[in-house]
Amino acid sequence: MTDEREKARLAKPPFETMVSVSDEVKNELRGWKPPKDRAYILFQSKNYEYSRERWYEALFTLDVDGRPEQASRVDYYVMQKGYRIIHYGNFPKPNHPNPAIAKKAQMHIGSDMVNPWDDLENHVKRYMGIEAKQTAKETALLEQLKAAQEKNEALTKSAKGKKTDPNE
Amino acid sequence: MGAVANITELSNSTTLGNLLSAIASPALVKTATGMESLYRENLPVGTNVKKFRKNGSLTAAALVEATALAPDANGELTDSSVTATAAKIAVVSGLSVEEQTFGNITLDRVAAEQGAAMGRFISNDILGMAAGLATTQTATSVLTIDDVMVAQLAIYAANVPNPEVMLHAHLGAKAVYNLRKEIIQNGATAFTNPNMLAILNGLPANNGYMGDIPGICKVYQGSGFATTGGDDQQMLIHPMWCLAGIFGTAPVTWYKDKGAEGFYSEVASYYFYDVVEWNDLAGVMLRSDT
Repeated sequence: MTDEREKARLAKPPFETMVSVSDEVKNELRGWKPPKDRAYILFQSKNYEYSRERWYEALFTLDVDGRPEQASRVDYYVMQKGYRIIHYGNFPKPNHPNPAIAKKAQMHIGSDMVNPWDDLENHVKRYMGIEAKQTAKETALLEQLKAAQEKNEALTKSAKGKKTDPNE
Repeated sequence: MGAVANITELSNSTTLGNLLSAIASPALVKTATGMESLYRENLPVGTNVKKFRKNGSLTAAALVEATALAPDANGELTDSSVTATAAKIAVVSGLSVEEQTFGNITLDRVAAEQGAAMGRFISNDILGMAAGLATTQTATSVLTIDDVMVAQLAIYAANVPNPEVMLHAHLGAKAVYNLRKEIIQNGATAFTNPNMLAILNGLPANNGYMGDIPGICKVYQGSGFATTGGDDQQMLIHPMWCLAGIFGTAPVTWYKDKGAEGFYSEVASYYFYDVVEWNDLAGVMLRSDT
């Protein structure tokens, strides 16, 4: 991307996702626009840049519009490829504020009054819930580690202070 | 000078209104591309799920004389699969009896437009798979032939079978423009030979096919690619082994006349299909400026 365009893009705020993402992914989300009126699931993908021989994180938008029975595809990307769901949107609901999307829900609701989009949403949320728990656990462990490191540092300083104190 | 009075003008006569041009401009919608770049099978019978199988392989080991070799991980053969679930896409339209009697939009025309709409839907799905490929080649700015060649190298290096089959590149209009511009500006001896200029000779066909870059790939021009970090997510794929899909023979269209709910004819079309990523390593995502 040309410098000016890239600068302009990086100056934009990142699209806010439902779960927290790394700084690298935040940069990918700057200037990113969700699909208009189309149901989608946004993944944080794991990509290998062949010529630079490095792994990096980017975005993968799975368009599920009109097709709520995409659970197996979601499983494939999460379980087999290690992609992480960070957001989803425009899942049709009968009471959706956008009438075009609400109409799509009515098309899929059968005589049993079950909205198949709710099933897909629960499926997606389950993965995101697991992610959220993992993130919370990671955050707690990192905080514990930080506290221990600070304590260790303080103890080391105090021990050094004691040794070098000439009055003792 | 003012207008002259009492002149018999055009408005004094009775004329025809609403005459139509000899032809109508087609709708400016995207071309459906991608169907020729994946492995296709018919819909399954008795279930809506089909598993695209992937064979495992075994590893041989050297063995010294008079040594036993028990079954081990090298000898365990494990196959895997990717699941495709056929799902329905549909379009429903209603055509009033007034339009059918006095207008010029016919039920058959509506059915044909519904078929085209479903074709674009499937095309979106196929092109959307590009963003899911794990191996990538990111252009520094605009797409270059070198980027496409590196992507080809990545596919060859992954030991994808049938390397004798030309790879397919699905690119946005800007990327195709930049490739053509590079060839024109290159001036290398190879590109002064008309046989090497296939991509410059053609204009986009109905399926988006632009032409070949000899020894590298067939180029298809499409639109609606996903984006990340200000780049289009396009792809170079092996047409036999990267993507796979199950498809119904043809869309089914119903015509039904209505009365009590309003006088119109309903045209309803549906089609079953699914597309899946079969072998990730048989394709490379090409990132270049949007």
